[in-house]
Formats: sequence, structure tokens, C-alpha cells
Amino acid sequence: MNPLMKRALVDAVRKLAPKAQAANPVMFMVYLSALLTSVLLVLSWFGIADAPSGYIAAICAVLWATVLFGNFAEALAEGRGKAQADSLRAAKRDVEALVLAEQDLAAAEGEAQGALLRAAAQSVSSSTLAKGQLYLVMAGEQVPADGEIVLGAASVDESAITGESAPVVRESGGDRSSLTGGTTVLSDWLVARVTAEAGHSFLDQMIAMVESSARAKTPNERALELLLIALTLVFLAVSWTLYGFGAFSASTQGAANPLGLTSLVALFVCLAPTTIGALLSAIGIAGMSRLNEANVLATSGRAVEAAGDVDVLLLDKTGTITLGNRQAAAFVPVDGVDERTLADAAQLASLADETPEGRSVVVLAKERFDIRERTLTGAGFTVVPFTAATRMSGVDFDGHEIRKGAADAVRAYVEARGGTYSAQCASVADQVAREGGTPLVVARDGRVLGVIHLKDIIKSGIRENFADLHAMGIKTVMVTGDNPLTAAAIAAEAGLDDFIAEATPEAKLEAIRRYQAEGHLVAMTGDGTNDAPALAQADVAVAMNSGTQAAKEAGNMVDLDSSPTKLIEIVRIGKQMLMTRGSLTTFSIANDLAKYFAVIPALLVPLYPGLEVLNVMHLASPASAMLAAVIYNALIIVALIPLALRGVKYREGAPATLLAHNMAVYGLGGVAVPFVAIKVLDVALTALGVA
Amino acid sequence: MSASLGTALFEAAAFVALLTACALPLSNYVVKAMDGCPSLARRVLGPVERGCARLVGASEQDSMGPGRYLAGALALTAVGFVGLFVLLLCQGFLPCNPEELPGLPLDTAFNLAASFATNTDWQPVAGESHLSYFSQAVGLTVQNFLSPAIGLAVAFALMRGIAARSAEGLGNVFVDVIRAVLYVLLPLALIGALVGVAQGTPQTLAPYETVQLVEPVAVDAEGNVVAADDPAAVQEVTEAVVPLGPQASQVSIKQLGTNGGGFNGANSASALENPTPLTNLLQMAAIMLLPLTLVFCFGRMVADRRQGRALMVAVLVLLAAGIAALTAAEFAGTAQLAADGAVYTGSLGQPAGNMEGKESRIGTAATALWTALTTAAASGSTNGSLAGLTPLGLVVPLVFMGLGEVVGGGIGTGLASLLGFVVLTVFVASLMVGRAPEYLGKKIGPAEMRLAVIIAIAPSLVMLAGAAVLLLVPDAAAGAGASAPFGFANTLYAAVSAGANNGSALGGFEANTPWANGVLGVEMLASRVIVLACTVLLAGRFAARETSAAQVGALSTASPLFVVLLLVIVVLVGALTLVPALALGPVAEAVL
Repeated sequence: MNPLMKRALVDAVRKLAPKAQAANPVMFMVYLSALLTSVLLVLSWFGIADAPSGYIAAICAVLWATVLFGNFAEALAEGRGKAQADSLRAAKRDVEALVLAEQDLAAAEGEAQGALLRAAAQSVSSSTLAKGQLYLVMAGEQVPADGEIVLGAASVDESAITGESAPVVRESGGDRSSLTGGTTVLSDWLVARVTAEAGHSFLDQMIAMVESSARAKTPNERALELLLIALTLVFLAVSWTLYGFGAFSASTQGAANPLGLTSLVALFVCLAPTTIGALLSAIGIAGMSRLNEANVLATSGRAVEAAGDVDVLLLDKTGTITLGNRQAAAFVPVDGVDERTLADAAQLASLADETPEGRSVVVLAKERFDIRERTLTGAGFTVVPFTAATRMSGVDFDGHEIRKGAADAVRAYVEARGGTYSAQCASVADQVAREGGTPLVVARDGRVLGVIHLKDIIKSGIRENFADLHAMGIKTVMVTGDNPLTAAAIAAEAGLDDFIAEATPEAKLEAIRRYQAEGHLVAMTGDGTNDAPALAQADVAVAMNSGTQAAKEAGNMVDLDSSPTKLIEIVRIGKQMLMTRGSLTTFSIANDLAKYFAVIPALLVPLYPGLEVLNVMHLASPASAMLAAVIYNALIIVALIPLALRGVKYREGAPATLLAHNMAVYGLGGVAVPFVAIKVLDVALTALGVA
Repeated sequence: MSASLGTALFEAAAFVALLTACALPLSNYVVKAMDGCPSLARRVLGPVERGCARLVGASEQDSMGPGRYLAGALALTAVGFVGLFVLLLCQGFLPCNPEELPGLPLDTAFNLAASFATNTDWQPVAGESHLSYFSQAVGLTVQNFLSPAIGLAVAFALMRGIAARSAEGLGNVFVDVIRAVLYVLLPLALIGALVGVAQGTPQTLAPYETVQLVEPVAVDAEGNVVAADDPAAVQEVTEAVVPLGPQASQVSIKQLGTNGGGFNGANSASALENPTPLTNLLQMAAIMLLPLTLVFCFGRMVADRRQGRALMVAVLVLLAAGIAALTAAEFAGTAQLAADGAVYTGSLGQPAGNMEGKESRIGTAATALWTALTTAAASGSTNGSLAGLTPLGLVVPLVFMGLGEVVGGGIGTGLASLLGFVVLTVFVASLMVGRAPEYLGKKIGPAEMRLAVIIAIAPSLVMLAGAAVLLLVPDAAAGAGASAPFGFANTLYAAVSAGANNGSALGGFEANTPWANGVLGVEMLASRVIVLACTVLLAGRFAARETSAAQVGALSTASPLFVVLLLVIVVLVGALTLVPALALGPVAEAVL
């Protein structure tokens, strides 16, 4: 047997403790019912019985099985998290930490800085580290605590947390400065300041989350539970008042009340929404677990649920909608220059440009005119790198100057050299921008040659993705630093609903507030420290694991893969969880119809033989009917465990289509399945001679 | 289907269609009246409204939160209850009592006061033989205006809460009640009373009249009326007492306000309360008019009339199913009735069917239609004896009441109950499409859910508990008036009727006993107060919720699919609770 199952079986028994049962009101009532039948069973051995001892024993056994099956479902859902937690715990052990004083940091300078620091550091246990202290990690050592890197750069193996074996670079300053306890430094050394003490670290949070020990019921879960409690109360009333009804009906006929305690308890358990009641927490835990499997950690179940309800997605353009880089798509010469000349100059200007955009210019020149790569090592070649001040790059050779850059930068450059920036060039640049491209203007010796059309490459399949989201009522908003013209063109091409151009962190925050004021729920992804305010404001805020500590703290989920498309997946997981809850609730309620037809004739035929007409399933005897119904009730929980853990099949589509589909499958299915199953069980019970 | 059944169903369909058509323009008037828009009625009665408002220190500008609104609604109910209770106890000392009727016993007065203050109008005693003109007019008729007005006010509070864009008040409960009385109930009741008087219903303070019988009858030793020449006759009867009084005014509001309590014990089967085919038609219309109107009002109030229409479709589907089932059952009769030609169930120029318990001038079709309407709407007025219904026919009133006022229901409380179920449906449907539940832009969280489920299930719990208690008390068998299953049905019906604030009854049930008065009185109060309170609190929760943006492709709550799901949930959650009881009562009777 697989260890997960074995563990769940043990836990299912352990969960029989009253305290664990009380957390789930519906199953608690089943638990009490099972206890009551146990008492009735014991009493029956002493001759105090309302039914044959064997019948009471059978009902009692099935009720206990029902409770255990519910426990098992929950335990199995938790099992996956526990296994994950165990492996995380392995990474979380006390290690030796090298503590540095502030003055050590200031004192150690120069080539052998690392060695100097190592000499100055004092060795303590990692569990004693306090927030704000500085520590040093050398190559090959495990990071003792979460920290913000203040000095150094190193490659770090984060596989213990992310499961990703490729090392990542962590360095002071910028957006990759957070260091997670439990990871291992592979090369060089780092000095970091402790941001979380032992017991509160990211790893601790992760363990708590995946273990579900920190799982609180979400508002939606509580609302559903209220509905289930209400139904339970109703059916409690139905079964207990039936005792009075039966007593009256029997007494006026001078007969004994055929409705014994055992049968009424069984009736109650049959009618109560035990199916969804038993699986409710498993569905929630499994949802979290699916999220964990997608390498996303949520800080609360509420965030997962909110993810299911998000209706505005702020998506970063780069990496989500377009491939990371723009590529040169065309050379557009102006002012009578021929295309080859332009291509030649552009290639020269880009040879030293190692950015993907630069490479793509070289590639295009080769494709279009077979201009081969040249080396720029010869005398007279001077590479002019891109700077934020000039916003141009290029090359100087043999007294010539070739430059490429943003249109306004090149215009300023050309005009400063006494050249003219022609209207044709301006209009071509505009045209490129309008089409969603980025114009790079190329000039030689103060004369404009033409424009390189850099194009954003929209990811394949993303358009269909957005169309699906749109059908689900989710508004997709692209966030980009591009100008509005470019942004609009890309948004239109990718099929987004809206865009925020020239986005600054403030503009993002502003947009989130605006959407929320309109009553939307907003989700976003962020990594930098400057994203933190927007992350804190968003309803679902996914911080990249590669991002800064500030971003991770502001968000309510961390994406260990740091993938920009993860947001869409998160929304799907959230929605799937809600759908699973709704579908199983519908199924559970629909089941009652068949159960009534099985149980009511069984209970009442002794009083009024004519009621046999209600026995539409032609069940063999009252006892077999009753047993078949309670056994079905218990087995359906087991049968639905895989569905609860896996989630119902997720589909995107208009709500009406989804509703029709799920109503047909789980509503009509919920009516039909028990009729068949109870009949089959009845036949089996009769054949076995049990009842 | 026999031709006469077909005709009856066609007539019923035409009637319901015309009634629905009337409800549409009326809803426009009611919304405007409750919002204080100018109208003819307001021009005439405006000063009265302002005077009344000043008297209780209420002002339209003083929009209340849920706490104050609820306190006001409950205070008005309490004042009505206590006032009527004291009045009934002291009846003997009060004026306008030409028959010199004594004060009612404590338990009867409690039951009757609870009954009329809760819009139930269950009557443990016949009005004409126990109540003075003063008790009828100042006691019962006043409550017949006040209780539906409170219901109407609360319904508008709920609609305002759902429609509120952001944290607004629910309105002023006193202003709402005054407007409901002055502009909605009073004008309609006045028209009804005038038609009634014109058709022959008494409206006088003169004492009861004694008249000579055209053809003398006799009574036998057991007090049954027999023919004058019957050998069992022990005493000849040559004269009769005709109860008079201010009947027309009470009859019209009893129908319009979903009250149902007649001036006379025979209710609208009596020739005095319901003298002509015209009054029968108009009273039937009056039973369902305002409940249907409120459903349309909902669409107007939330500024999306499709929402009102969708709910109307749900109500009409249930209503049509009930009418069809009841009418078919009554036309078919039962094997026992037809046996040995005891009752002629065929058609003789006019449809016959099961004529047992039917007023012969009204007939099977009109009684079946009326019975369905009066139990769908929480009225309870009758134009025949419900005890005479076939067992399967009896299932329909029981189910209608068991659903808890969803099919029209009482004024205000009916709409509230329906919306309670709508919230449950939205919740389940939203989950099924992977959305957090939201109705008309308002999120449904645990607090909303708690209130909605209480609204949906409280009446069921109250009626089941009431029935169980009544069946287990020592004199249960005597109270039930017959052995099981008939006696069971009698008691069950009483408990269900009280829990649904309906008020109709099966004649066999011994209603005026301390147990019955006490249990049913508590049931009526519990059901009414719980539903009113949860409705106002739900209104408050909705009002406090921000309205979220209308979403592209959001789950439509006006689509046929949603209506289907709503019906399924209403039937599964509302009706399944009654299945065991029905099996022991009418169904067992049918298969005996």
C-alpha cells in the first residue's frame, strides 16, 4: 500500500477524537448518531431494543464507516501536504551561523574582503539569530535565516524550496537581494541582515501552509457550511418529528410505533448532506495542495478563494503576453537611402550590442542581405555603449559615427550635428509605434538612414487564453512601460481588454485602487520593492520568489517559479475549487430525492401497507432498503474522494454553459446515481442473505 | 383529461394571466407610492400621511439602519398583538356589541391576537358567534391593515437594501407603514368594499336579524340538521339568525392583505361574504394581486425588470403546477366517493367532480382554484370546506404552505421568503460556475447566508415542531378530530397553516383548546417574527455591501436556467421536508 494511503488510514482513526470532529458540524452530527446507535446496540444485548440486534449492529457499523470515510478523505488531502512538509523540514535544521558586527562590515575592504569577514565572524547557532543581525554565508554553507543581502553576490541553490535545481544569482541591491533560510550558497559569499527569526521564517510559513495547520476556514467555506448546517437541522427535525407522527398514527390504530430510534437515526444520516459535509474540508485542502504543486505558496486559504473570484488581472507585458524580448522585424529606409545601406549600418551599430534586441538586428541583416558578422577588434573601432543619458548606442570607426536609438534621442543627436530629422522619418517612426512596434532610428554621421522596426512577439496561444478568460468575465489588463500607442497595438493584437501604458509603480497602485473602487477584485504579479505598495493593495498579489523581501511580504502568494503566466493558473485553481464545492453540494442535495424513495416506504409501510406504491425501486424489505440507503450514503463519500482531491474538470466558458453542464452532470447525476446504486446494493444485500 | 377539466384549467390559466397583467401596472404605482412620488391618492391623503407621521414623530428624511427599522417593525407588531389581546379579553365591556358577547378566554384571545397580528388569521372560533362588531372592526380589521402594511414595509426595506449602491439607510419604517396603508391598502380595500356592498354583502352596525325560513327544517338528537319530515327529527326549526355587521369592509381587506380571516366562520363560502360570481372572481383576484405585484416591484426597485420577471416565472410555474394538480384531483374524485354512486363525480351540464365540501353555487373548479391561490399566497380565506378535498388534492395546499410563502406568500414576507431561496440558489449556482457568490452586485458571505437560510428553513422547522408537539400532547387524538391518517392530516394541516402564517384549516380539527391555541399561537408568532427579523437584517447586510461592477459574462439571475435551478432548490429544500408527513397523512389516506 502506498505510504500516503497508510498514513491517511491511521489519521482517519486518529481524527475520531471528539475535538477533531467538532470542527465539522455536519460530520459531528453523524458522529453523535454513530455514538447513539452504539449505545442502542449495547442496550439491545440486554434486551432493551427497538429493533433486532443484528439490524442495529449493521446500522451502527455503517454509521461509523461513514464517519471514518469522512476522516479518511480529509486525512488523504492533508497527506500530500504533510509529505511535502516533511521534505521541507529536512531543509530546516539548526546550522552554524556566522554573525558579524556592523563595524566588521565597515572594516573589511579590498580583495580579500571575504576572508577578512570570515575571520571577524563569530559562530552561533542559527536558532539564536535575532532580527536585524548581520550574518555571513560562505560557499557550500546553508543559509541560516531569511535575510536581505547587504554585501556580495553569489549563486544560490534554492532547490530545497523551489524544487528547481538550477542555481540562481543573489546579490545585494536591486530586486534579487532576498535570501531564504534553508537554501545553500554554491559559490562566493554573502553578507545578509536577518529579516525573520527562527520559527517565523519563510520556510516555517511554508511548512505551516502546506501542512494546512494554519488553514482557517474561508468565508465562502463558512457560508457553505451554514447552508449545510441548516439542511442538517431541517433533516434532524424531519427525522425526530417523524417519531411523533408515527407514534400518533400508530396509537390511533392501536398499533406500536414502528419508527424506532435506530431507524430514525439512520434516516437522519441518510438525509443530512453528509457527502459534501465529509468532503468539504478535503476540497479546500486539495485546492491549496494543487496550488503548492504549481509551486505557488499562499499565505492564506482566503487568497486562493479570492483568486477564484478575481475579475481583473494586471499582467506584465514582458514574459506574460510577449516573449521576453523584442526582435527586429524590418528595416525601413527613409530619405532615399536604400535598404541594404540601412541594414549594413544597423548591423554595425548592433555588433557590440549583446542584448537580444541587438542580436536580432544582426540576425535580420544576415537573413535579408546576407551581411556577415564582422569583428570590431580592428584599429579605429570604438564601441559606444548604451547609456541612460544618451539613450543611444553605436560604433565609431574610421571617423564615421553610427548611432541607433529611440526616435527623440536620435533626433536630438542629428539636430545637434546640424542634420535634419525629416518628416518622412518621423512619420515612419510613428507608423511603427502605432503598429505596436518600437522604432529604432539609425543615423550615420548626423544623417538619418532609416528605422529598424522592433516588434514584440506575442506568445503563441495567449490570445485564445485571453478569450477564455474574457468569457469567464475576467478583464485582462496589460501593464507596460511602453508608450500608449505601442501598448494599444499590442493589447489589441493579444486580445486584452485594457492596458496601462508608461506604467510606473504609482500608476499601477492607482489603477488597482480605481478598479477596486468600481467593485472589481484585482490580481497582480510583482517582484521589485517598488511593486510592494501595489501588491499590498491588490486582492490577489503574487510575489515572485526571485523578488525582494519587501515584495514577498506585501503579497499574499509567492510564486516559487517566478513565472509571469502563473497568475492565470492561480485563477484557474481558485475557480476549480469553488466549482468542486458547488458541484458536490448539488450532487449531495440531489441525492436526497432517491433516498426518500428508498427510506420512507421502508419506514412507513408497516403502518400503512398501501404506501408500498412509493417503493418505486422495489427494494426487497424495509431492512434491506434502509441498509442499502445508509451504505450508499457511506460509500458515495469514498467514491467521490478522488473527485474532491482532483477537483471537477475545469472548463472555461460562459457561466450559462458551465451552469448547464454542471447542473446536468451533478444535478441530474445526483438524482439518478443513488436510484441505481441503492437498487444494486439492495439486490446484493438480499443475495448475501444479510437482510 | 375530461372536457370539463380542460375548461377549468383554461379558465384558471386565463385568470392567472389576467391577474399577472394587472399586477404589472400596479407594481409601478406601488413603487411610486412607497417612494413618496406624487399621485392622486397622495394629493388627497398627503395631509393624513403627514399628520400620522408627525403623530409618531417619523420623518422620511430619517432613514433607518437595520436595527432601528427592525425595532420599529417589531414594535408595531407588538402593539398590534397586545392591543388586540386586551381588546378581545375585555370585549364584554366594550361598545358596539349588540349580541352582548362576553370577553374571550385567555387562550383563545392569545391565539386570535397572535393570529391577526401576524397576518395569519387563523380563527379558533367563528367570528359571528364570538366576536362583537367592535372586536371585528376595531380589532381584527385594523390588524388586517396593519400586518400587511408591516410586511409591505419590510419587503421594501429588503428591496432598498439590495438596490443600495453603498451603505444607505433602509427607509423609515413608520413612514413606510403609513404609506402602505394609505396609498396601497386603503384605496384598493375601499373599491373592494364598495363592490361588496353593491353585490349584497352587509355593512351595518345593526344587530343580527332573525328571519323566517321559507321551508322549515329540523334537527335530530345529535344536533344535525335534517329534513323537517325526517323520522329522526326531534325539533322543528322555522327561523334563522342572519349575522350582520361591518362585513364588506372586513372582507375586502381580508383578501387584499393576504389575511384571510372571515367575518363569519364559513368565510367566503358564506353567501353574505361572497354573494355573487363577481365577488367570487374579484376576491380570488384580490388574494393574489399584491403578492404578485410585489414580485414585479422587485424588478423595478433593483432597476432591472428582468429580475422581477424571472422570479415571476418561477412563482407562476409553481402556482400553475399546484392549480393543475389540485383541480385534476378534485375533478377525478376518489374511488370511494364514486362507489355505489354516493357522490356523482361526472359532469352534468356543469363540471361536478368531487362536490364534497363544495358550495354548490361555486362548484369544483372555482373552489379548487381558490384553494390553490389562498394557500400559495398566505391568505387562508376559503370558499369551500378544505376537509372535503380529495386526499391527493389536499397535498397541494400542504405543499404550498410547506414551501414557506414562496409561491406569492404573504404581503412582503412572501417576497422575502422567495428572495431567501434566491440567495441560496445564487450561492450554489455561483460555486458551480467557479465564482464567489454575488446577487445583483452584492457579495453573499457567511452573514448573508446565515440570514437567508434562516428565512428559508425557519417556517419548516416551526411547522414540523408544532405538528410534533400537537400530536404528542395528551388530548392529541381528541383534538385531531379523527383517527389516523385523517386525524393526522387535520393536525398536520393546522400546524403547517400556522407555521406558514396562512390561517386556513381543515374543519375536523378541534382548534379552540388550550393546547392548540397555545402551540399554534407560538408557531404563528415565531414564524412571523423570525422571517421579519431576518429579512430586515438581510436588507441591512446588503445595504452595507459595496455593489460590485457589472461583469461581462456574469452569472445571469434572470435566465431560464437560473429559474430552473431556483425551482429545483425550492422543491428539494422546501418540499422534501414535508414528504414523510405527507406520506403519513394525505398519501396514506389515498392508498388506504
